[in-house]
Parts: sequence; structure tokens; C-alpha cells
Amino acid sequence: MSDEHDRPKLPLCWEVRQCKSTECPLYETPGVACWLVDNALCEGKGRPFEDRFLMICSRCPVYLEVRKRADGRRIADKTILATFDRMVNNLYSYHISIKETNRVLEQKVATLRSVQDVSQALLGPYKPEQVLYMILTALTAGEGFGFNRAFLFLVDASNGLLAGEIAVGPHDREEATRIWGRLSKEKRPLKELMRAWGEPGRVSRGSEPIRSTKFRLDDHDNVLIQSLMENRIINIPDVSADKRAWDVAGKIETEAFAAFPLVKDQRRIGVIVVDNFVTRTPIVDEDLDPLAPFTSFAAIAIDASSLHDRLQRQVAELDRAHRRLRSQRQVIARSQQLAEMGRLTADLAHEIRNPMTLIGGFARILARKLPKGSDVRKKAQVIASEIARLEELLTDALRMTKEVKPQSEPEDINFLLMEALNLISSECRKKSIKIVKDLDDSLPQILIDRHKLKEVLINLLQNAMQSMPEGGVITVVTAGRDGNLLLSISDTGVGVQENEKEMIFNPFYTSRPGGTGLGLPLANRIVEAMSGSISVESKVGHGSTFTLRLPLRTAAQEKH
Amino acid sequence: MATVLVVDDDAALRMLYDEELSNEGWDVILAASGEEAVRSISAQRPDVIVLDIRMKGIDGLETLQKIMTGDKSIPVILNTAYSSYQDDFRTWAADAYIVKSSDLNELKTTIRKIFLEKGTG
Repeated sequence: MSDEHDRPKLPLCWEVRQCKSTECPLYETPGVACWLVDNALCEGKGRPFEDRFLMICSRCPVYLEVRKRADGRRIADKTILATFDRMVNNLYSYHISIKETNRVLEQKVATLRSVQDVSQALLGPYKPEQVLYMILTALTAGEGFGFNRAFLFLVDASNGLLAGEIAVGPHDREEATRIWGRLSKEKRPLKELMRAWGEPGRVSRGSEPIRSTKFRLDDHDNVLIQSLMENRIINIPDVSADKRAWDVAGKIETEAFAAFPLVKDQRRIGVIVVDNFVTRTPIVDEDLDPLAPFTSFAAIAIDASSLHDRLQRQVAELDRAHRRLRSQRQVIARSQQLAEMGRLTADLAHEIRNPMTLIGGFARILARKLPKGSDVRKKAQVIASEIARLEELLTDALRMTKEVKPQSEPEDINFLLMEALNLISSECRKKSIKIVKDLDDSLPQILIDRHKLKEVLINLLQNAMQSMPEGGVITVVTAGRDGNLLLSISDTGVGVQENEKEMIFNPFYTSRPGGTGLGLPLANRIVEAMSGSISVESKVGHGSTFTLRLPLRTAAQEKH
Repeated sequence: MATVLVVDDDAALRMLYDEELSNEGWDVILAASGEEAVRSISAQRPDVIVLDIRMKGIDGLETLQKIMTGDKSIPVILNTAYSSYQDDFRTWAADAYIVKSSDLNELKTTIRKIFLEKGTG
């Protein structure tokens, strides 16, 4: 007791610490073992006793003074105290070690959580290019793995190459400052950043150059190829010291980088390269450890997205095929309808033809037997001729309803034209019609249906003849121009009125008495079925020119 | 005198053909069906047959087949309101194919040509 009174006063923590915290329960309170007070407002506030005591108080002058005073004279006292000190020191070491272990574990957990978050963000129905962007964003975002830049190379197996696909990150320090400054202001969560694909300014200008960067898959001296083939992360802390890295470093302009492969189920997908070319922060193993699980996820995501993409394309293709099938069915249904109509028309024709044969046939007999010049004979003759006209109309109408399917063979158009002219030549002579020809000998043979086209030519020539009852000139010209054959038949006849030019191609329209009005429409249909056209130029009183245009498809061209 | 067998199930048409072909100086035998035609051919052996296609009972094409299995030497002219049967290969065994018309000149010309080739009067 007398010792206590003789010794100087115990230091007080607020005196030692120079603390002015008046709210603290220890403030100006003497004789308190402050390390035992849990709610003290010094460094130890809120920390568990063992942590506070071991890390702070056991080193504090206040405790040390108390401990010194507790040092007894007896061996037992000294032994106990020494044991206590040793325990404290050991505990201190363990505590440090546990704290460090905890810190490392927490860091790893945080990283894995971040990897999990990022990996989960990759799962979704994203397009392949979107997934690639998301992977590289996760690698370069501050909240992600925090590298300055990331480059993705994909395997192009068909060409034996590892080809640059996409790059994310600033092009230079200036851009880095700008982008990172904006990102830190925006404070967007990582997942949102990853999904910001398509927003302007998200992809580095560096993306385009990377597309022209390719490495041969058989170049085993290349560090990226090695990483890919051996399926391992390779860190190159100093490019100058590792010649495997020179080619890559030269292309992406960096002095240090790490490469890690993207492999899924032993299928090599690509390689990612990361670097810190702006901050020049060295890439250490700790930075690379969490990348292994992330790259597995990334490989899965890339594979899944391309699968999804392929599926979507296949679905689209199936959809197109389905629509084509539907329209084919409609075409078939329509063809069946037309075939049915054709059958009905043929049946109708039969029903009509027989009575017409009878009416016309008996009218002729009557016309023969009745007295010549008699009124009744004339009437019988009218019946017979009208029936004949109806029969002609029926024949033409039936031809119109038939499917016009041209059978194409290579033909010499001039030769065909000459055949048609020969057929009308004697009639032309009788009618004082002169025929003038200007035929291009150099025209190649073209693919046409000769029978149908001859029908068209005869029709046009007959029209020309009929427009010149007093005689005239028919001029026929053939020429090739702009991949087309042009065949024109001109006459010096009555001509066609301006307002009739379109109508003459309509069925049953005729300006000629006794005409069926079906010749030109049928000719037009035949020519259109050959991918051609008929046009008319005319001047009333001067004549008309009908021009046939047909594509100059030669047999050789058709084979292609 | 040359004999023409006309086969048609339409009575009025048979009357017309009878009048017109008789007028040409030919003997005309009429048959109202394919079966009757076959019986007439074996009984009377005509010099030419004018045969309709669409008939009740056995049609003209089947009748043609029966004729071909019998006496192939008798010429057959198919005479029909249908132009489409020309594409049917079963009609190619006939000697001619005429689409019915009120103007029987084509039929008469064809019969005359056949008789000329055969040397029939």
C-alpha cells in the first residue's frame, strides 16, 4: 500500500493519447484499466476486446506502465507475468495471422462473388457480339477486374487462324482520363455497364485495328497460341524479356500483358489478352487467380450465345421455309383450281360445240338446198357464217385458258421469221403487199418456243396485212440491243388510234369486223411467258409498228 | 361404193353426217355407240370409220383399241368436240384427228385423202 502512494500517478489514456474526446467514459476518469472498457472512444471503439487489446492496448504506454508495476519480486509473480506476456505475444502473432488469413479469405470471397455476379450477368439470350463486349467490359471495369484494356481473339478453324475480334478500353491516356472520369461520375453498377452494349462510346476505337490482327494457329512460338493450346493463363510482366510475346505486343502496343484461353469441353474458342498500358500497374498472380473461373464462364457464355444465334437463324430459316411451303400450297391450290376450270371449260366447249355443229351444219344444208337468191337461202347462209364465227371464238378462247408454258429450244429468230413470211407471202402477193426485210445476221440463237413464237409472228403479220386492204408495205426488222432481241413488224396501213393502243391487247377488243379480238392478247401472253413484251407505235393513216422484245438468253447463258 | 361408218351417240349429229356424207356419194353406216360400232365393223367391214370420243358406254378411245385389236387396216378418223385429246397418246393410233365443226369440209377432205391413198372409190 505504501508502494502505491509513493509511486508517481498512473498515466491516464487521454493524457497519453492527447485525446480531447469529452464524451468518452474514460475522460478525466482516473484509476480505470482503459483496455477493459469496451465503450471507450479511442481507437478500440467497436472492436472486440481481444482484437483491441492485442493490436493496440498491449502496446500502449498506459498498459505497459501498469504491467511494469504489476511485476512482483517473487519468482512466482515473475513467472506468472512472464507466462502471461508470452501468451499475449503468441496471441498477438496468431491474431495477426488470423486477421491476415481473414483478409485474404474475404478478398477471395469478394472476388468470387464478383466473378459469380459477372458470370451470371453473361447468362441470357444475348447475341454473340454482345456477349463478347460484356466479357471485355467485366475485365476492364473498375468494379470488375479493373484491367486497363482487354482484347479478344477468336479461333477461325476453317482458315487456321486466331483472329482479333473486339477490343475494349481507352486508346491512350487522354481517352482513359476522359472515360474513367465519366464512369466514376456515373457510378453505374457493373451489370448495367456490361449490358450497355450498343451505347455510343462504349467500345474502344481500338476495335477496328484488332480485326486486322491475326495469328496462325500453327505458330507455337506465339504466346497466345501457347496459352490456347496448353489451356493455361500466361503472364508476361516484361515483353522485352520474352520473345514469345513480341509479335502480340507489337500488334497491341504494350509492354506487359496476360493471356488467358477460352476453352469449353476441350473446344478451343479463343484467347483474351489484358494489360494496364495506361496505369502501368503490374499484373500479379493475385489479379489472375479469379480469372480462371471467369474465363470458364466466359467460354460457356460465348458458346451458348453462338448456339442461341444459330438456333435463332435456324428458326428464321424454318419460318421462311414454312412460308414458302404455304405459298407453294397456295400456288398448288390455285393450279388445281385452274386445272379444274380448264376441265370445266373443256366440258363446256364440248357441250357448246355439238349444238353449234348441228345448227351450222344444217344451216349449210338448207343454204344448199334452198333456191339460189332466195331470202330464206340468204338467212340460212347467215346462220352458217355466224356459227362459223362462234366456233372460231370458242377455239381462240380455249387456247387463252390453257397454261402457256413455253418449251424453250435454241432457235434462229431470222429463220423463224422467214418461215412465217413464207406462209403469208402468196396472200401478200394477191393483196399487192410488198415485204421488206432488214434482218441482223449476227444475232445469236436464242432460247424460245418456236411453235408459240411462230404463232405470234403470224398473228402480227396477219394484223399488218389486214390493216392494208388496198395494198402497202410490210417491213420486218431484227436487231440486238442491251441484251435484248428486237423484232419489229411495220405496216403502212390504217394505224391505231392513240386511245386504242392499250385496248388492243385486251381480250375481245377488236376494231376489225369479223375479228375475235383474241389474237393480240394471246400473242402478248405468249411473249410475256418468255419474259418479253410487245409494244406498238402508230400514226392514224400512216401505219403501225409492233415491236417484240425478247431477252437474248443463249443456250450457254442458260446453262450457267 | 365406199362405205363410211359414223359412230356418234348424238342422233341429230348422226343425221347431219348421214346427209352430208351421203351427198358426197358414199354409203353411210351409222352406229350410236362403241359396242354397236364393233358389231357393225365385223358385220359390214367399212372402208373408213369416223369415231366420236366422248360417248356413253365404252368411249371412242376404248372403241379404237378394240378396232386395233381386230382389223388394223381400217382407217379411223377421230371426230370430237375436244381438242385436248390430241395430247393423249391413245389417239395416236388413229389416222386423223378432227375437231368437230359446222363446216364439214375438213372431214370430207380427210376421208377423200384416205380413199385416195387406199385406192378406194
